[in-house]
Amino acid sequence: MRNVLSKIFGLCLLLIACSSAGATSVTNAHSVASIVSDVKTVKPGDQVTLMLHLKLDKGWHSYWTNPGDSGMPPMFEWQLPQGLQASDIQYLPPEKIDIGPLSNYGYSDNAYYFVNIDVAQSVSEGKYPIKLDADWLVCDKECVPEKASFEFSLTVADQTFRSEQAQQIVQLQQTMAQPYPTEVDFQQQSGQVNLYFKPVSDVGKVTSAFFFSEKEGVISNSAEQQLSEKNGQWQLAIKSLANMAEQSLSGILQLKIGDQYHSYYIDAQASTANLPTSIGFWQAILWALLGGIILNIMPCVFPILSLKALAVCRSQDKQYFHNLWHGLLYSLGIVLSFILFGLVIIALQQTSQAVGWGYQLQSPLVVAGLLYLFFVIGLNLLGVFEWGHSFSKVGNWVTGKQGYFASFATGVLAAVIATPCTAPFMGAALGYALTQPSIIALSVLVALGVGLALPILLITLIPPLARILPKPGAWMETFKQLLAFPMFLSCIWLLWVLMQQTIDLMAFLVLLGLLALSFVFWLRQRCRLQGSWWRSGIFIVLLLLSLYPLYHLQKMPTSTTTTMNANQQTFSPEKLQTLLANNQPVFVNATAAWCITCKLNEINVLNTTAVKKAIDDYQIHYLKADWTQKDDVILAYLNRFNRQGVPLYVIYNRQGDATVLPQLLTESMVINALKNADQSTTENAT
Amino acid sequence: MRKTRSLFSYIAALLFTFSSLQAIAAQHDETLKIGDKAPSFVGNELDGAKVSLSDYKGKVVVLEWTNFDCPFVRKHYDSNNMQALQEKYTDQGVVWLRIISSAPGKQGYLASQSDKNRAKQEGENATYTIIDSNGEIGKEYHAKTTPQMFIIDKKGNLVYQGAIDSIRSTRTADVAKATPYFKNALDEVLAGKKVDQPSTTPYGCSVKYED
Repeated sequence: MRNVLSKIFGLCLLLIACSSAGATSVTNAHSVASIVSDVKTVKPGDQVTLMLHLKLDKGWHSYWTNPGDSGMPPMFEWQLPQGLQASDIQYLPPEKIDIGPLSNYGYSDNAYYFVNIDVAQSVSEGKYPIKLDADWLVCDKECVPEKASFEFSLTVADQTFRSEQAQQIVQLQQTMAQPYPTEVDFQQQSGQVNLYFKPVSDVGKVTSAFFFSEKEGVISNSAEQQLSEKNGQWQLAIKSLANMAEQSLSGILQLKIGDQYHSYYIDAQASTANLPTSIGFWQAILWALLGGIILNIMPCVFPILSLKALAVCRSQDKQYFHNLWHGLLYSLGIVLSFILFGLVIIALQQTSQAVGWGYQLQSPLVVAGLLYLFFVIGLNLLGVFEWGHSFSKVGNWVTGKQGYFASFATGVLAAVIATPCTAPFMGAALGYALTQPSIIALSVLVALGVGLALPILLITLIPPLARILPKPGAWMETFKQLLAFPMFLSCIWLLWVLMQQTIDLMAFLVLLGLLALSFVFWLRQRCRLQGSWWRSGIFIVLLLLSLYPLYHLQKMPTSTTTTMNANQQTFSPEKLQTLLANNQPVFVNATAAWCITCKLNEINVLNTTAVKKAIDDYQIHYLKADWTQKDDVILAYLNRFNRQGVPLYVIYNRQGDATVLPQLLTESMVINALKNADQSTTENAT
Repeated sequence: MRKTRSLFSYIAALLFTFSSLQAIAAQHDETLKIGDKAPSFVGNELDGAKVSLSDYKGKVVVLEWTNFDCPFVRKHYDSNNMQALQEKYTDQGVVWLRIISSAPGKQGYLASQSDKNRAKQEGENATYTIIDSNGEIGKEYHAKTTPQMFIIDKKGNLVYQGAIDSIRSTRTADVAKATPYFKNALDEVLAGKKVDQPSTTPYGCSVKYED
C-alpha cells in the first residue's frame, strides 16, 4: 500500500517525460533516469524546480541524504550559466531498508530528487544551456554506481509559464515532510535519546514511529525505536551511538498510522527542563525512602509485611541480637533484590530496548506469572493449603520458626511482590533515577528498598516498638485469612492489566489456569500425595496444564498498542471489490466472538508473530468480517461459498482467484497461502 | 554455615548476572570505544594458517575490511591507493590484516580458487588476508562497510576506526582530492602523537553478513 500514489505518479511521469519534447531519459543497468522541469519559460528573479526521477528495477534501491549504515546519496554537478544558482538536493521521506544487521535509508521502485534553480534578476532573456552530471548508487544485494549526463536548455523570458509536468512535480513535492506542528524536544540518557512530542490531532492511531536523522553518526540506523505515551505526550526512545553529544537533532519523524506513513520534519533541541519530574538527587533519595515505607501498606505488600511483623513479635522472647539479625537479613533480601532489578533495567537500557520501571509489566508473560504467584499466596493465606515440608523455609509466616535464610528469602519475596506496585513519591524518584548514571540510579533503588524494609527493621532494632503490636493469639489465624483479600485484590488488578495486553481469550485461559492451580493445591492438601508417585503424577500434570497459558502467552506478540495488523480493515463487499480490482491480495477472516473454533485459530495461528509478519511482508489486505451480531451482508458473503456459519477463511491472490482455507488452520498453511497469493502476478494467467 | 553460604551464592549470582548483562549490553553497542582494548580474534588466512591478533602484541596493527567487487573498494584498488598504503606501512613494520567478512554466496566471498588467487594477488602487499565468512570478527568490530579501517596501537588499544578518506564516492579521481583520514591517523600513531580524528563515519558497500 506504501507509496502506491508515487508509483502511479511515477508511471504517469515516465509516460509524459517520454512523450514531451525536450525531455531526456538515460537508461542504466538497474534504473531509468529522467529529468523534468516545472517551467517552459522562466522570468528573471523566479525559481525553476527540476526533478530527477529514477525508476528503479525491482529489489534495487537508491539513497536518502543520510544513506544509513552504508551506501551513498546522489551527487549532482551542475554547469550553469551566470546568474543561475542550484540549491542542494531536496528529498522525499525515505524508507528504512534492512540488510541483515545493517540498515539503509532510501527508496525502492521510484526515487525523486528535487533541485531548485534560482534565476537572478540580472539574467537577460534568452536560451541557456544547462548541464547536469548526476552520480548515484543503486544497491540490491550488491552495489552498482550509475550516472547520467543531462543537457537541456532553459528559456528565460518575460513570463514564467508552467510546463505540463509542473502539476505532478508539485503534487510529489507535497509528499515532502512538513514541519511538525508542535515543538519537539529530546533528552539523553545513557545510550539512549528520548524524543518528546505532542500527538498530532485527528490523524488516527499511531502504531509505530521512526526518526531518520539527517546527520550521520548520531543515532543507530538499525535499532528499533520504541514509541510510548505518557501524560498525553509521545516519547520515542532511540538508541544513540556512543559519544553522542549533539545539542540538536534534525531529520524526519515518520509515524505509521494504519497502513500509511506520515512524515514530519523536526529540528529537536536538547532539553533538561522537559522532564515532568526534574528533582535533585537528595530529594529523589528522600522520596524513594518515603515511597518504600508507603509501599508497605499497599495491598500487594501489606500481607507479607504484617505476617513478618507478627512473626517477629511472636519471637520477642528470644535474644535481642537474634531478632536484629533476622531483621537485617530481611532488609538485605529486599535491598539486594532491588539492586538486581535495577541492574537488569540499566543493562536493558544499554541494548536496543527502551525500558523504564514497570517495564516488566509490559510483558504479558510476566504479568501472568505474577498473577499466578499472588493467587497462590492468597490461597495459602486463606488456608486452602499449607506449605509442605520442602517449603517450610519460606512459609511458616506466623509461627516465627524461620531460619536465618528464611528471613532473607522473605525479604526477596517482599521485593518481588512490591515491584508491580507503586506508591506515591515512588514515581518521581524512579523517573529521576532512570535518567541518571548507574550509581545514582542504584542509590535511589537502595533507598527504596530501605524504605520498604524499614518497619520490620525498626521493630527488630527497637524492641519496645514491637510491644505496640497486639499480643499473639487466636485472632492471628483470622487476620491471616483476612490478608488473602488484599492479595486477591492485587490479582484482579493484574488481570485487568493482562486484559489490556492480550486478547480476551488469553485472559480466559489464564483464569482457567488459576482454577486448575487452585484445584491442584486443594487436592495436594487433601490427599497427602507424598510417597504415592502416581498421585504425584496427577499433581504434576495438573500443574503443567495450569501453566500452559503462560507458555502460550510467550508465543504472542507483545505489542501493547493494538493486536490488529497494520492493514487490517473491517470487511465490506465494496472494499473487497475495490481491492480485487486493483490486483491486491486479500485475506478475509469471517469470525464471531462466540465461535470457539474461530478463537482457537486466532490464538494458535492468526495472532502469532510469524503470521502477522507474513501479512505485513506479503502486503496482504486483511479484512475481518465480524458476525458476532446478526449481519445479512456477511451472511450473503458466507453463502457465496455455500457456508452457513463461521469460521470462513478466504484468500484472494492478485488475479482475484479465491482459495478457501480449511476450518482448522496451521501456521505453515496460512503463511504458504499468503505467499502464493502475493507472488502470483497478472502476467501468470493460468 | 549453610545459610551464610546461601547468602554468598545469592550475592555471587547477582554479580555474575550484572557482569553478563553488561557483556550483553556491550555487544549491543554499535561502535567500539576509542581507547578501549581492541577485541582479540583468531582467523584463518588465505592459505589456511591461523592468524591471531595476540600474535602482534607490541606492533601497530591495521585492519582493513574489504570486498573486491564493491565499487568503493575498487576505487581504492584500481587507483592503486590501497596497495601503495599497504606497501608503505608494512615496510615501516605495521602489520596489515585484510578481512573479508562476506558470508557464503554473498558478494566478496571467495568461492572458487580463482577468487582466492585474485584476492591473494590484490592483497600481496598486505601481511595477511583473513577469511571471516561467519562474520564473527566483523560483528565484534561492528564493521559496517567495505572499505572500513581500524588502527590498533602497540599496547593493543583501538586508536582509529572509520573511513579511509573524506570523499564518499566511487570515482577514482576523488582519491587525490580527499583528506586521507586513515593515513593521517596512522602517521600520527607511528609518530607517537595523539590521533586528531580517531573516529570518522565509514563509507562503502554494506558488509555482506548472512541474513
